Amino acid sequence: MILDRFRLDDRVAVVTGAGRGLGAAMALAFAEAGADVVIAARTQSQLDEMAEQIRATGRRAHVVVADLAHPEETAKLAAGAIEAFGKLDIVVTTSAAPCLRRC
Amino acid sequence: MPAPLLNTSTKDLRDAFTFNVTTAHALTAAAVPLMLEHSGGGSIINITSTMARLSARGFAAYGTAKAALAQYTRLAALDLAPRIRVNAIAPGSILTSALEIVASNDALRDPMEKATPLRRLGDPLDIAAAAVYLASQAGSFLTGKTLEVDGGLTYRTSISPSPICEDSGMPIRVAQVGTGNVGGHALTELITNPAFELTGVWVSSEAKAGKDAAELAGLDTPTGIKATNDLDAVLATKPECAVYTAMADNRLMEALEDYRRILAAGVNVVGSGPVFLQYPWQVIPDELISPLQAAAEAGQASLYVNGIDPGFANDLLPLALAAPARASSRSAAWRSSTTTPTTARP
Repeated sequence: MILDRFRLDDRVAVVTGAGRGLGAAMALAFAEAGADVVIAARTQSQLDEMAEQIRATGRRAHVVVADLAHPEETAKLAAGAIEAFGKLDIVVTTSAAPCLRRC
Repeated sequence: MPAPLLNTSTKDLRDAFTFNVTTAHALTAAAVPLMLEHSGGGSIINITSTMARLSARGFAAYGTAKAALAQYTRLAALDLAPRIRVNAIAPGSILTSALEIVASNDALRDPMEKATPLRRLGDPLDIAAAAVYLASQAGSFLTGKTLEVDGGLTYRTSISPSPICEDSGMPIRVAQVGTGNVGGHALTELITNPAFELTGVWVSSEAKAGKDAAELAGLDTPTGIKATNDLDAVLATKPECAVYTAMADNRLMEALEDYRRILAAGVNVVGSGPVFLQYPWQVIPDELISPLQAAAEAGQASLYVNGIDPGFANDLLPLALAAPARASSRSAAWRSSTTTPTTARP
């Protein structure tokens, strides 16, 4: 069944920039496809909201508040996936989109 | 951002590389050993941008950094194969919170949609679907690739909207109404420019009726399209647009009635006159305007009167005004009578 090839059952994904926008959409899609997701961004409140949505799909979510401009926080993020879920299969690096206003 | 090139500091450039390239590398370097140890392999997806390939003003820092990330994706894919796949997604104009300002502003959104061959902005789910594909077994034979999920945006060389004639590659079907001073030039263009396909020609004089369009345009090769005095016969050729250059100023009501009939037939009109139709509101009585608007709405057609109408206002007056003002290269009178569009769009 071809659709089975799109499933991500029991995979573990790390998604950065996952508080909103594309990162959030991808994190939720991974969960819907069966993955547990480590979501990272700078803003805790947005991540908490995303974690709720991920858990509502029946998958696990792990929140890491991190500013990836600092390399040590990046290392912490990758290690967080192993600590939380014991493995790491998928990594998505999303950075800020170009805002039309100053940001 | 975006910022003019000379306002783009080296710090802006460094920041763009830090946010886009350095963080991707840092995360890749931190994650790959763990992926290999705990999962035996995996998939990395970098989010680049159409700006890595398109040119637009003000994107030197961001676009260059995203282009670097696309190349990083290819190089990392080679270095990390076969157990780790590295791919990228280059989103086009996607309606995320970063584009909120665009979503709520037609003036900003319309050109972005028009510049996109698929005629819409992207949804975050369009990108999420691509990510699931790249992350899953479905995409397991892809590495080093950038999926451009952009509605076809990158097939353009620039993100500026292009003229309608480049839109489909198909010539625009146009009928010519009137073959006088202005119409003769228009007719020549309609016959010789491959962007247009002449469908019919209307003429006012009995003497011109039955003549080939080429003859009326002063061209040698016959077109096979004969001029007629019957406007309905011209509309029956199903043009997308009619170029109306028949004399309007001394047969005003007839010209307005012609416009009404053409618009009602669902045919767009580009006309040279009468000049007040450049902007008729509060200039001529509403009862003259409303039949045109109703016909345009019924026919889903537009009317554009450019006022290119040789005569006093366009040649004599500018010269008279220009004479005392020798330094002026263009007169305001000329501009005001030739560049204000009139549209009766539904």
